[in-house]
Amino acid sequence: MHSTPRTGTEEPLLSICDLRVTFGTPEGQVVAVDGASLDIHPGEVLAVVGESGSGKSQTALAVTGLLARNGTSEGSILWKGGEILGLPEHQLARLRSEEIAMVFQNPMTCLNPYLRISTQMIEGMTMNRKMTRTQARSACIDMLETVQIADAANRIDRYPHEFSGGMLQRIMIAMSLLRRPRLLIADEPTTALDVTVQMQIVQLLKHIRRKYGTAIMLITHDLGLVASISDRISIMYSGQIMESGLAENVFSNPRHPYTRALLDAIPRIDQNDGELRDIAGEPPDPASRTSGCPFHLRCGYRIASCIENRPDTLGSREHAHACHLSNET
Amino acid sequence: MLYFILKRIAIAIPTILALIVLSFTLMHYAPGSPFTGERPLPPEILTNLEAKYGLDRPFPQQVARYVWNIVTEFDFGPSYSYKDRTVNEIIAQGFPVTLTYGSLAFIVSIMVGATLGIVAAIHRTTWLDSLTVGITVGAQVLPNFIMAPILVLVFTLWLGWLPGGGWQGGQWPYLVMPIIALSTSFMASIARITRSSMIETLNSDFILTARSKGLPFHEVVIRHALKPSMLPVISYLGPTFVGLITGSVVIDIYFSTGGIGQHFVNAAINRDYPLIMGVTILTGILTVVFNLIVDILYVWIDPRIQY
Amino acid sequence: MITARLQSESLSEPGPGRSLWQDARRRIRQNPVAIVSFSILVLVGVFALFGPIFSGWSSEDINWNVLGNVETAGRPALDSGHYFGTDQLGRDLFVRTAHGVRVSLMVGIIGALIAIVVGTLYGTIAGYVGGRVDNLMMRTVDVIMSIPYMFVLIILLVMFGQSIVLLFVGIGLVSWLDMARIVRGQTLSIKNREFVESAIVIGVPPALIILRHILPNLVGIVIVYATLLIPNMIIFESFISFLGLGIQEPNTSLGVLISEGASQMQYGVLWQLGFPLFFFIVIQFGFFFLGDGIRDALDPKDRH
Repeated sequence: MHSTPRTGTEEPLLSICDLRVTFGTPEGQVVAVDGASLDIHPGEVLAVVGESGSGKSQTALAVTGLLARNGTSEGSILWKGGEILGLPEHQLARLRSEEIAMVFQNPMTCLNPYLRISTQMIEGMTMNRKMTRTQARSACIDMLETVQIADAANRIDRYPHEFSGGMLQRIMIAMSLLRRPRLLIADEPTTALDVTVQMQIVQLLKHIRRKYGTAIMLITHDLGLVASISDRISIMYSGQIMESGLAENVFSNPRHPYTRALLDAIPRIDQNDGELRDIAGEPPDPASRTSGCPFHLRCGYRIASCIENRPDTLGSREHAHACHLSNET
Repeated sequence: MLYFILKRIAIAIPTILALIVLSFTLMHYAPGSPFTGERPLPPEILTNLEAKYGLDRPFPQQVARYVWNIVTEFDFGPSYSYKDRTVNEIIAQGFPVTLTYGSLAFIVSIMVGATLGIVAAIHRTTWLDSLTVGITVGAQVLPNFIMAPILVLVFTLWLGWLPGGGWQGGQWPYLVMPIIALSTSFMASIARITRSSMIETLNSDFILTARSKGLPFHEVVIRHALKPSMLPVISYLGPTFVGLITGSVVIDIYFSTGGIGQHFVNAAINRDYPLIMGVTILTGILTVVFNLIVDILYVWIDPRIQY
Repeated sequence: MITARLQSESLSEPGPGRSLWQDARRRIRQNPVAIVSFSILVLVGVFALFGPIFSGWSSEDINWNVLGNVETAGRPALDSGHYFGTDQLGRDLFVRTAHGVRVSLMVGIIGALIAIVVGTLYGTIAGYVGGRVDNLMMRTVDVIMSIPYMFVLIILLVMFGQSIVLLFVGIGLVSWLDMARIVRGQTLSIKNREFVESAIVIGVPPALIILRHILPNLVGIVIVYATLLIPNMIIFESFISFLGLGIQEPNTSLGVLISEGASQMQYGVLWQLGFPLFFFIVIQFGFFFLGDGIRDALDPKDRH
């Protein structure tokens, strides 16, 4: 599989090439990411969309070196042109503290319930930025205000259980931004939240990108959610990238059957025929990868070569896809 | 918080009173008396003795007097078997001994147990973990009355390094074996509890968050994982405390340390009721107070508990 | 209350009846440690019950030839018929060990049974009825727990004479407390499950709900706890007997034998400590690993 061809002269911030993440389990090897490639340029919002188990979260964890103990990653992950895959833990820790921040799915469990918000926010700053506690504290309060936590100066000393899920996710985002990262990886940041709160978080992410110029890798299963925010989209299925490109290209001219199926599955008010479409079948089991195109079991346009060979990724940075059918036409 | 503590104390006080009344009642209706030995005493002497110890008064009066003496003066009355000594004197002599090696064993159990547990959890699936798990599983089936003879066999009879018993004002060679014998099984339990709760904590989402902030791993463990993983250990402190007190009976007897355990068993065999009650009530009070402290500690650590 | 909450949380809810048990049986068969432990325990049981048949001695016979010369004549040997040697009074240790193992196992199992019956009944009622009754019942448990039970038991033994019956009662009486807490926690969580709620809605009487819906779902946790309780009861009995307050001569138990062996070990008769100690440790390990295996089998997701 080729890496997505680049256009433009600007060097990508993060460039993942042919990443493979496997987990050793008592039942055998499980392949979570199977040769995925993607890149993110400074200030860009890339949405990585896929069903659960498609390997999108493991891709993110591999980037920051936070895979579970039994996980190994191969391939190449370049950060500003330098290889970071296999870096020693202390260098990865520095990378996480200074350049790549992460926000996770469930804000209710992602903050330490035994420590005050202030303690959790300040700890990363006094360590790396040679700040006094007072400076760090006021920076934290400012940041909480940026993410629209009212009365931040008083609330900062509360414990996580005293906040709602949406507020906690704002706090998580604020916390990740304190270190002014170049890249923010948001792993399903809205999934655990109410629908009304979801849009607020997306708005917040937009605002952050405008204000700080932070590149965002937004991982989600909700294609509808990313439409308004993402510059580019990568569709992931069974550990592989099915289609990628500029958001408008993917939305208006989907080339991969899986992308089309996903777009069809978005409920739309304007075309309400009272039916929710889903994709027939189940995603393949990561423990037993099939040959050929991973989507062939559920694909309505299957041809013989889909079962035998894995399709190459063709196209440009603006729009690329991996499908035998579209490659031939 | 203050309300919670007051509420807990409000429960603790009647518990202690109930314990006192209950043990006195049991003693009162117990068959046999300290003066019914092999050779029956002449009735007039018996009457004199009973009058001296206040046993001729009506029962409620006896209870009231006993409770009153304890509450106001912490006075457990005279001992029956040691004619010229009060229960307080005997306790004052034996208790410091028990307290010395008991509290050292308590500290050793927690420190060594928690350290082993944490090291094993951090180095999970390595030989270090397997070794620790092996040691703790082995140590867990070695209660104090098993450990004591084994230790004496090895360190006194075979190696000749340590004295097989005695106290000598608590010099360290006399402390080593009592402490090891008493703490081994609790150390093992604490290590196992710590290990599994530390592993569970390290798998939490908030640990991933902490690591994603770029904190070095040891700081993640110290700042984020230590507190939550210690909570199950804290709730095990109560049973540990009771177990150590109970175990001290074996230690006192086996190593002839002269602690209250030894007096207790002697008192039990001699039917020295005031002494038995004195020791029981004292340990009961200590247990209640200790559990109170543990509960407060628990609430203090976990901000989510409502009180 | 705090410990009770933790204990009930740390054990997962039992799943549907049949498949759970089938799964559990399959998993335990695939667990070599549990199988070996179980086999060893069975062997120990066979030894305790039938061992004495293979010896010419009874547990009270005194071999007068040995007496006074135990450290040489009383050594473990096949030709003298004393496979485990003799004790200080010239009694055959093989038979006495078998006897002691029998008594200890019996104490352990009966003590655990008392704990299970009393604890389950108490815990189920407290958990099911809930409210003030629950609060009162569990507070009572808290109060009893803060009584130094070993001291109380020793007092009871002194007051009413040292009998094996009293030992059972005493052990059973203090051991049900933990059981009651665990069962209560579990009952609380089962009570709020849909199948119980629907039974309540259609008017099934409480006693029947407890019998049909609650108790069957408690079986798993009770079994796991019982395998942990038996060795604890054995330790408990041995402790009392070690102090000379439990099982009395000529009856014997592992605790008595260990105590006797420990008091003689400086006279070159180590086998008197060694054999009872060996069986004590084997039994402890056996139940520990068996209990671990059963817990694994019933609650696989508990393991990482």
